[in-house]
Amino acid sequence: MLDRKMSLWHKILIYAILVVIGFVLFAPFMYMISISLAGKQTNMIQDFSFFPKEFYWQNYKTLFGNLFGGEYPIGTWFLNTMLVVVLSIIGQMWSSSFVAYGFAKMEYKHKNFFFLLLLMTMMLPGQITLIPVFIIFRNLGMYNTLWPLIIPQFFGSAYNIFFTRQFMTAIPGELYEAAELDGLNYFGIYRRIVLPLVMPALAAIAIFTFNFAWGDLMGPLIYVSDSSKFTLALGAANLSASTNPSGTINTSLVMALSFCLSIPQIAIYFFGQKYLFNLNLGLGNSGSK
Amino acid sequence: MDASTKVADKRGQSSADKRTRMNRRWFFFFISPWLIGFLALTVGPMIFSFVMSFTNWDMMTQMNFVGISNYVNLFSDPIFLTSMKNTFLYAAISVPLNLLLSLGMAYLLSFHLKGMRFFRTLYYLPAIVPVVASTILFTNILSSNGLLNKMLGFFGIHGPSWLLDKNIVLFSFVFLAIWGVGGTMILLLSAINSINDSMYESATLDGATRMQMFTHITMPQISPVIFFNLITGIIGSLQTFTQVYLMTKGGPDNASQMIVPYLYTNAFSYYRMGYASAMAWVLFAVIMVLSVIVLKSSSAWVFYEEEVK
Repeated sequence: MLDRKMSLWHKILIYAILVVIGFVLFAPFMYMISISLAGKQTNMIQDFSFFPKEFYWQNYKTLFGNLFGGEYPIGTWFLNTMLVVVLSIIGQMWSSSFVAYGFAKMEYKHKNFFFLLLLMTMMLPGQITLIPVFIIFRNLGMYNTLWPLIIPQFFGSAYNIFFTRQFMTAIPGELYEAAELDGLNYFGIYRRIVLPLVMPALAAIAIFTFNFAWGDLMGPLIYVSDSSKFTLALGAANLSASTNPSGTINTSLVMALSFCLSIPQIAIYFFGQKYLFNLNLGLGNSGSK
Repeated sequence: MDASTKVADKRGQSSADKRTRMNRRWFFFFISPWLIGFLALTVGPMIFSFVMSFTNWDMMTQMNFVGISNYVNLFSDPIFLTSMKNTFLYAAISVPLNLLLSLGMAYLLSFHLKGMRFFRTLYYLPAIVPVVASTILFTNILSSNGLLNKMLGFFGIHGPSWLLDKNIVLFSFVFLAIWGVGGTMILLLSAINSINDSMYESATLDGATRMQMFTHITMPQISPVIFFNLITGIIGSLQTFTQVYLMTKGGPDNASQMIVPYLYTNAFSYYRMGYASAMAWVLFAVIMVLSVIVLKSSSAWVFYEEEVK
């Protein structure tokens, strides 16, 4: 927005509003930290303060105390989550670039028909296919494994394919022709030329996929029943349902786990924001410098 | 015409045919991952789900066709009707509120003042907290002696038990949705920032006020982005699941039940697969109808650059 001379009072007013909104949005984080550091007594009466009154680090020690056993084997849950996250990212990066290349650069009479089908699946709510897909994976003997969360990612998602295709169409045509003259076939062009060029788009897809796979609840909830197969999100959800004021699991432990669940996602945002915000600028420029 | 087709023309018709065939093969080679998934995980399941919605299948006993009775029962099932009402109400409150707040915040952040990057990050932060974590957090914030009521008490207001009162429990989800307002805000902000400054410059020369520039330049220019967020917001809020499942389980007395959590309960707790499938198709129909209505209305208020040229 264009800058105009702004009076001092105007500026003060704007900053005041910004600070109030900032406080309201940040307060829940403060409360989260405060609860995660509350002692046993506070948990008993469920009366938490806004600023941490006590710093009962024991909660975090208890949470990480028994990584691969006990009521909350969060080491196991973390490894399960990482398995799903890493394989999902590989699956999405591969399938979106591979399929997008077909749609962006291959010639075929009825290409637009298939592209329309792809776009239509974006509008289909996941609940329609939820039950049949569950039954398919159950009949394949994959109930209570993490595979039903991973395998579908290798077939691509309409949104990611569309996104990558848009990115690819902006790559200048001369690059392809030069590669073809060099005797590369289409697969070679995909691997040597296209893949490196669309990396910025694939980095964004990796971030989207991380966000989804890291925080997804419904998928693990449906497919996994043993605690040893839980992801972190499902583990946190399960613990939050089983809190008992006096016993082994208290609100502070669940909140400490929620905090730990949030940190990687926030970190990914900070490291990845250059890919997300600069995407338009990088569009198709990388090859023609 | 590009260089490669020119070469093909010189070689004559038969080589052009061969090339077309080759190209077709390569096309299907590259789209095969999606095509296989589309057939096995979308089209097949869609047909299966549609057929299943006319049966009483419970995964154990035999599948019997029961005609349209699942659909008839749905509309006389008081819990389903309540879920529909709650879902619509939630969408009707949270989506416009979310858009209004994010628009206001994006507008404030679009002024070139010091520290805007800091505020942008601060506002966006809640939107990247996994929904499982934010829901667990808000279950505590909204409890009778939680953070919200403590804050209200500061102003002398005695806050209600948000999660236990049938009349206001839906607002719990609205609070949660508003906390994540940064997700929409960041998109609107980048739309506002990408508006060409020359538009504002010429408006300034014409003596336009800040308000006039907002309504006549900023709003029309970002209306496609608002439209996109309206559509995705409606579709997303109609599919609310995690918040309900973790925060209230639909309670008290189904006062906060919504369509997808009720579908989940029917399918995976009671194994009423036929009934749940019928529910999924009703949800699909609702989403389609609302999307078409918003789409139809868009020509009246969404502004696209091409129209001027």
